[in-house]
Amino acid sequence: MKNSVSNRQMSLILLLVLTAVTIIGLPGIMARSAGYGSWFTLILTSVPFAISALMIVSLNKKFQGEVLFDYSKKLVGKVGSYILGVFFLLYFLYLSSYLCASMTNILVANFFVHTPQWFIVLLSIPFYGYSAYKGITPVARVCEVFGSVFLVVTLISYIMMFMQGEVNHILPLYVPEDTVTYLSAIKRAVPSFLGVEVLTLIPLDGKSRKRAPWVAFFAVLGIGLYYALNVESSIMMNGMSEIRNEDNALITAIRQVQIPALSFFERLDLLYLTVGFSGLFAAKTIVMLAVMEYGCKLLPNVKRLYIALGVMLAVFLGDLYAFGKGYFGEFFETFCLTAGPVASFGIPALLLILAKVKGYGKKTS
Amino acid sequence: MVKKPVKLILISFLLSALLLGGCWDVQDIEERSIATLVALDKTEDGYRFFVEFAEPSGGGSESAGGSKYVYHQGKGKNFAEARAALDNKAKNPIYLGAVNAVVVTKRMAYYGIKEYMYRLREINDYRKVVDIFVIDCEPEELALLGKGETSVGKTIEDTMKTLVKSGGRMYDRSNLGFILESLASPCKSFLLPCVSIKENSIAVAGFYVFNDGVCVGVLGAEESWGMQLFNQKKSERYYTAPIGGDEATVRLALKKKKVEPSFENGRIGFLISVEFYAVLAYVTEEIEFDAQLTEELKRNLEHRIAEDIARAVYDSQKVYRTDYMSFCIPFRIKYPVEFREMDWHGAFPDADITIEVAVNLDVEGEPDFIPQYEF
Repeated sequence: MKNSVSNRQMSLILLLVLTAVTIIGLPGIMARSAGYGSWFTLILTSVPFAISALMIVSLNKKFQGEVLFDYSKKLVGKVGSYILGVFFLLYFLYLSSYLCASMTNILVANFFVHTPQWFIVLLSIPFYGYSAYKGITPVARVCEVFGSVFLVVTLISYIMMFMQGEVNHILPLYVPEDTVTYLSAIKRAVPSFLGVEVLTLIPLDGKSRKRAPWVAFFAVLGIGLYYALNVESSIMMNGMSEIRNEDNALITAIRQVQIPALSFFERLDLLYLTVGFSGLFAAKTIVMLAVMEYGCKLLPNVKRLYIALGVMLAVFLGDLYAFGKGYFGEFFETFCLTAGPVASFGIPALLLILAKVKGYGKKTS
Repeated sequence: MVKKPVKLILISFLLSALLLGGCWDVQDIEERSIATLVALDKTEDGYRFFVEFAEPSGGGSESAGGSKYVYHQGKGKNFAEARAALDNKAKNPIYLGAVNAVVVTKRMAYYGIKEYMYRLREINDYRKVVDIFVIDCEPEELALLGKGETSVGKTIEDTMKTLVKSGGRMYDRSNLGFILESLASPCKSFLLPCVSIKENSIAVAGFYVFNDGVCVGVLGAEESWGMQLFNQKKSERYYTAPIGGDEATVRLALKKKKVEPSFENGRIGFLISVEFYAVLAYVTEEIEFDAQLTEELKRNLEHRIAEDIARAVYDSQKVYRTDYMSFCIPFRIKYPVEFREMDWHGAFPDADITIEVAVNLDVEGEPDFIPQYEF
């Protein structure tokens, strides 16, 4: 099977990987750190990550059919490419464990109150593992379906929340005296955009290759707007003061939405439980796929099946460790502010500069 | 490689196991005690929960004497103990997701409900849209209303919703979500409707005023009129004003409301501009409305509405000294930095508030009734 991903699939992969987990806790995080200017902080934070997406996809475009590990050999040599490969492998392994544990925490806190966390993880990991084992093309197709439904349902939920919430809760939209607070809140918004790096393993489709970098750029900017909608609509439902006490603010907000015309469908949060979590499933599959792909590149002589099993075990153990440590704590914050920018911005920028210097763009055009 | 049938069996097994993960501690609905009304009371040495439970089997259990709804209470020194006592009495594990109304007694309201509201937030079963009320009777009296046949919790919820729709109760911000936001915000003030029993029916008898979760007084039905007019949304309400020696009744609906805050030399001010649309419904005597009479009625209406709102503002500022009419919101929006730095609770009672009322009167409408003398 030809390994390639269309522009639409790429945009929806980005949407799922970036937003599926984040949107649940983001309104509370932003209300605590940026307050009324949350929308401004989120849109501003999306700009450097959009540039990062543009750089990564530009690199993929220059080296058609290759992914970061392959073309980095030409740019930084074999040793350099292995160092980058190990870095991304560990990076995605941690991100995969984080996503898996976050989803489990949300499920246990809101829906399956008495189900043990390890049981949910144990049962769900084989699904992500199996899907990821099948490779990028089938996963991209799954993301296209799940992503479209996820986008439509969440946007409808936000519109309902805008209609039923109190507009006073989000006013004033901007307080000039608080600009410094909005800017310093960027570090809280950064984790919401981590995941752009999955583009490093997306080979581009020949037909849509030309426009792909700009599609990725605008997709990330669009995700910034989507986050702003998510945060503002949740604040409208919960109130600015109360939402600061909420860890899973979106779920709390959705639970308050009432649709009198649909009296048989009172629990809108159940809609999120199905559609939202199908999106989350796709997102986790993608990140696990990233770990497997880097694993396969680093260990070309080992069967993909064994690598898949090893990755599943590692993610499971990572989750158990994360649960033992509590809610990821300070390490996740440090990780987001150090490894995150390096993976999403530093490495692609370095490789792009080297590609320009070595004149690879000209050769492949 | 794994063969296809084995793969399918493996996938089906995993899929069913994943779906069944939610059934880890599954309990049949028949084996849950479904609470429909929760009443909280303050006792001398602690708290008391008095709870209405639905019997899912549709009545007929011998212990309940064939009733569809049964009542249990639990007492304790703190909420946890009272709940544990209630759990001991309930036939099955209690389910709170179907609670229609939460009521607190007057004693509890004056003692303070803040801790209990935080407790409700933590209990995952509770809906944030559940309404909270104060009762001016004993919980047992409420139970007698339903006679075990109808849910008192559902009756309270339905009555309140109907009143909001019909304009009988125009202040409808008494759900858990709104109360939690009020408690967390600098205003810290809110109103809870008072549920009472009148002629064997549920009725609203004014509002209890809360500041920081503690009741500081009661707004009677008459005194709350101005506050309700100020908070009116879509509903319309019959309203009377003198005309000549008689009285005219109009259907009144709020058309526009603007609260313009000001802050000069450390002094807080508000200009309230409200515009109502009024349609003449009927008069006590048949009157031909000319321009002069129309103008007179319009002025009288404006004057009376302004008086009602002024009284509501006076009660809020000078009697209860707490901002339950939410003046803090327009002020915060216009002066966010100043608001953050001030003690709103201390500053609000001294704010200067000016009221401007305009009535758009239609006497050419379709009167409901004009007294007829020549049959």
